[in-house]
This record gives sequence, C-alpha cells and structure tokens, in this order.
Amino acid sequence: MIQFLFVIPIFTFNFENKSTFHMKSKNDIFQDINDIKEMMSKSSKFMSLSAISGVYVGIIALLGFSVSYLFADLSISNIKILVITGLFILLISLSVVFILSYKKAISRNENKISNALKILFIEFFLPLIVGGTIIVWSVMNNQVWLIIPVSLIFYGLGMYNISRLSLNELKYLGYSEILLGLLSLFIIQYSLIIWLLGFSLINIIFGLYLHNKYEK
Amino acid sequence: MNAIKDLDRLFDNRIRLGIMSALSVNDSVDFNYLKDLLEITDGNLASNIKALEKADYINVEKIFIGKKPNTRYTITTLGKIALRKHIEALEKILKEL
Repeated sequence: MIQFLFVIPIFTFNFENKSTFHMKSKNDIFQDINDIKEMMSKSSKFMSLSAISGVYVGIIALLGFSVSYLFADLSISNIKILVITGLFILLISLSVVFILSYKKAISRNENKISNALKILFIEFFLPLIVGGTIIVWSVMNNQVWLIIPVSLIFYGLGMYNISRLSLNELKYLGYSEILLGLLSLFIIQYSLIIWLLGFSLINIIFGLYLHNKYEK
Repeated sequence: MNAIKDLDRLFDNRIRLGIMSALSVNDSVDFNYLKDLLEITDGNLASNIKALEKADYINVEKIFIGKKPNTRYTITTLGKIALRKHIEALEKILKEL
C-alpha cells in the first residue's frame, strides 16, 4: 500500500517532465503549421479578387443585353449587334473587375508581394485569347452561332484556371459556364437566353455568394 | 517521441520557416519580395538567409537587371526534403499529443 502511494507521485512527475520536455506545445505546432500555410498561400495566391465586381459584371451584362435587345434588334442572325454587344460588355466588365480588385489589393497591401497576380493574368487571358480568336474566325466565316458557346466555354476555362491561384470557389463558376456553353451547342434556338444566363445571372449569384463569404 | 528528433532545428525560427515556405511554392524570389512578405528588417532577413544558405537549403543567385544588381533565391532539393520532413514531424507530434 505504501509502495503504491509512492508510485503515483513518481508517475505524475515523469509525465509532466515528459510533456515539458517537448518544448513545443500544441498551440506552438498549430501556429507553425498555420505560418507555413499562410506564407505559401500569401506568396502563391492572389486573394484580393473583388467578389462584388462579379455582381457588377452580371448587371452590366444584363443591361447590355437589354439595351441591344430593345433598341438594336439583338438576335443570332444579327452579327454586328451581337459582336458589338459582346465586346462592349467584355471591355466594361474587365475594367470594373480590374479597378475594384486593384483597389482591394492596395487596401490589403497585397499588390507588392503578389507574384501570383502576374500568373493570374496569363492564366485568365490565355483561354480568353484562344476563344477570342475562334470567335473572330467564326465571324469571318459566317458561323456566328459559334460565338455564344465559345465565349461561355472559354470564359469558364479562364475562371477554372484562376481558381487555383485565387478563390477556390471560382472553380464552380468555371464549371457552370462551361456546362452552359456546351448546352447551348445542343439547343441553339435558346442559346441567346443561355448566354444571358451565363454572363449575368451566374455572375451575380457567385458574386453575391463570394461577397457574403469573404467581404463582409 | 521520435518525431521530435525529426524536427529541423533550423526551422525553430519562424522567419526561416517563412522563407522556406515561400520558396517552396515559387520558382525564385528576390530579397525585397521576402522582406515585404515577412515584414522584417534587412539585417534580420539577411542573417536568416545566410543560415539557410549555409545549410544548403537555398541557392543564392546574383544577377544584373540592367545595371541594378538583383539577388534571387531558390530552394534546393535538400531544402525541399528538409521542409517536407519538418512538416511531417509536426503533423506526427500533433497526432501523438
């Protein structure tokens, strides 16, 4: 019995000794792992992509479509109007995304340290340039119907590409656009509506979702 | 208990761990980039870089951009392995706790 009493203090002493011998507490290790993760993502990802700009892009697309539909007879057969509407929406959208993201990056002091921004640019524009070239070809060769699937699919591919370098959720935006693009190939008669859906509604939904998640 | 032995003493320092983490996901980075990323002074960064260089965990490359000297750092294979082992050891300890 006496022996038993002696054993307990020795045991607890050993146990405590062992755990202080670790030198690193659980929190220290968590902190280390968090640091590693943070440094890796900070130096390889561009996290300042403005989510709310996605909503604006959707609204711009909606307005652009409505204006050219109401005042300029937007239809698949009307090449000129279709191309002008598309280009106009694309240019304004890109400017809005760029300006808002740039502002956000400055306020978060991210622009200086982001190698990722450069890569992001290339990853997004490479599919866009390829898609753009196909669109130029399709206009030159009177295959205008191709504009809608091609613009949706390559926009989707661009989004999918940058999801690795920025917000991971952009992957799903990419998938949705690609799916809609492929769908529009099969139901050409509804492709204009699908175009509108892809560039306005989906952008607005994702923009709002990401804004709520990351910018509130 | 064995996992503690696997921890790399060189990575006990947060700055060195940060440098290695950043290098592990970039082809190469320069001095000012690391300074901005880690938010530390020139001297502090230089001494930690020297320690990593001495251990052959990183490579230092001096090049000229026009007339301006530019020092670029890359992670070596040895450094990559060391960082991976260190992270694995950290994970192992977490599991044992």
